[in-house]
Amino acid sequence: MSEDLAAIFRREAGRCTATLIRVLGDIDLAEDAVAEAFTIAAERWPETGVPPNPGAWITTIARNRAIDRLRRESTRTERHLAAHRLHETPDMEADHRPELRDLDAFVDVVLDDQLRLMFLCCHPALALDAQVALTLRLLGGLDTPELARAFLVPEATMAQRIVRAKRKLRNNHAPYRIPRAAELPDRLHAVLTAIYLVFTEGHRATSGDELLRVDLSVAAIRLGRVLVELMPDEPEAVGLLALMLLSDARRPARVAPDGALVRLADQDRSRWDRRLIAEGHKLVRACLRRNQPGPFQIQAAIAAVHAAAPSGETTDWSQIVALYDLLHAQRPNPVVAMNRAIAVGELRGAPDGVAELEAIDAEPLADYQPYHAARADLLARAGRAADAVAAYDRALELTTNPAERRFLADRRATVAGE
Amino acid sequence: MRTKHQVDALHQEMTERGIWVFVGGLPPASTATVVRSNAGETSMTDGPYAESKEQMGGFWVIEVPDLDAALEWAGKAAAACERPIEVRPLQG
Repeated sequence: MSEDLAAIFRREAGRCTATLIRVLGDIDLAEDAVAEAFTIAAERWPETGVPPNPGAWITTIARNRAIDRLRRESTRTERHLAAHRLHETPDMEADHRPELRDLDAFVDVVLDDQLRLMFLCCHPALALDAQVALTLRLLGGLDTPELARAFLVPEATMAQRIVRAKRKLRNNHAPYRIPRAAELPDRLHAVLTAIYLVFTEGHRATSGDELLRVDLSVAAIRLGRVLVELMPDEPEAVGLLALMLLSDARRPARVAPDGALVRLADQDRSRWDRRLIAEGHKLVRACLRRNQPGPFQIQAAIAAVHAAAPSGETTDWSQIVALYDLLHAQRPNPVVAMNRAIAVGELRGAPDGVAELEAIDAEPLADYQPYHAARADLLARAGRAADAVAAYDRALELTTNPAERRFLADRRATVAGE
Repeated sequence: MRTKHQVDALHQEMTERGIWVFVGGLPPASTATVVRSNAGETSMTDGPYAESKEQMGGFWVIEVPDLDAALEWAGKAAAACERPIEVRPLQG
């Protein structure tokens, strides 16, 4: 039962909080109300069983409790006003007792609320790390200690990040709404970027909190699914979900039994998750039919090409180079140029890859570990051992992840002939 | 001169939309005097409070329903005066 409740919390807390924020007009009040409702559920559900629609049950209890509390504490003007507002909401009176309420109708509203909350959490006025923390806390059902462990920061730092973000939104009167059509592309891209950052953070193999990291990827995919459900007509949302599924499919093959990182080319592809690949491919095909390519869709298409290849050698590199060209045309940036150069190295040979890589303005990539790791690999394969060793050294300086360190150190030793 | 015309047009638009409250342009920071009060003693020093390359050149006070509306107007203001705009809420 207690495990069921934890799972239900992860799944439902976000949408309950989303609705309560709209009703109560305050993030903290909403969080408290939802937490209280889950405490009540923990007491009651072992006896009564889990209700058919636990999310609606929690939301209704949370709202009723919040109304009661606001009434009790209504000496404070602000809260009195909030309580007053609650009464004015037209659909309030009939549902004072949750049993009397048409729960399905209620859930319809909830869907929209979740979307509002996503846009609020990923408001461009917040720094990216704050957007990510708030999204995971309010929509992902992760608590502050979990977030602190997942992002390898002290708990106090994470708590302060969340408090500051909430305060900024409150003091600035950030609106609780879905952005208008004109602002939607940019605002949606911010939401997608935050979710993808959660995913990549979870996807990065580390020694320490491996399980929590996996949790992050699971949370990101769940948020991605919610977003696709809420915005089925946004091809970029579909693209992000496909990209995450196709990358996650490779997880079982990414780390060797001894914890070392396995390169894409060397992975045992029989260990890739075929079910995730099939779902990812289906989504990519749906995107292609729409023919409105955006950065997440293109990256998903690249992941799909990899997933379709039975081995590293049989990968359709010309298609991957073409997709990187398309991506670079849409979002010119040095990281995309770097990945394109790596693909060119596969398609036309390492010397061409090195030439492409050296044509990029490397200054923005000076402290970017994957650049030096990729450069080292291409140089080594192009037969420039001394340059490769120097690049491995630079990459090692920038690597904190133990699995990656071991991988790079092994490669360096091989190239140096040690 | 170009920015002056742009800013004038923006003020016109702000007035028409009913969000304009107050505007103030500031002369260079070298005109500043800092006044301090310490245990009843008032002291004055020449120059801005903090020496920095970036100085506030003026401000708008506008009245809009929420952050997004404020940010949208800030975008117009940044385009008109060709300088970055910092958006801050007023307390209360």
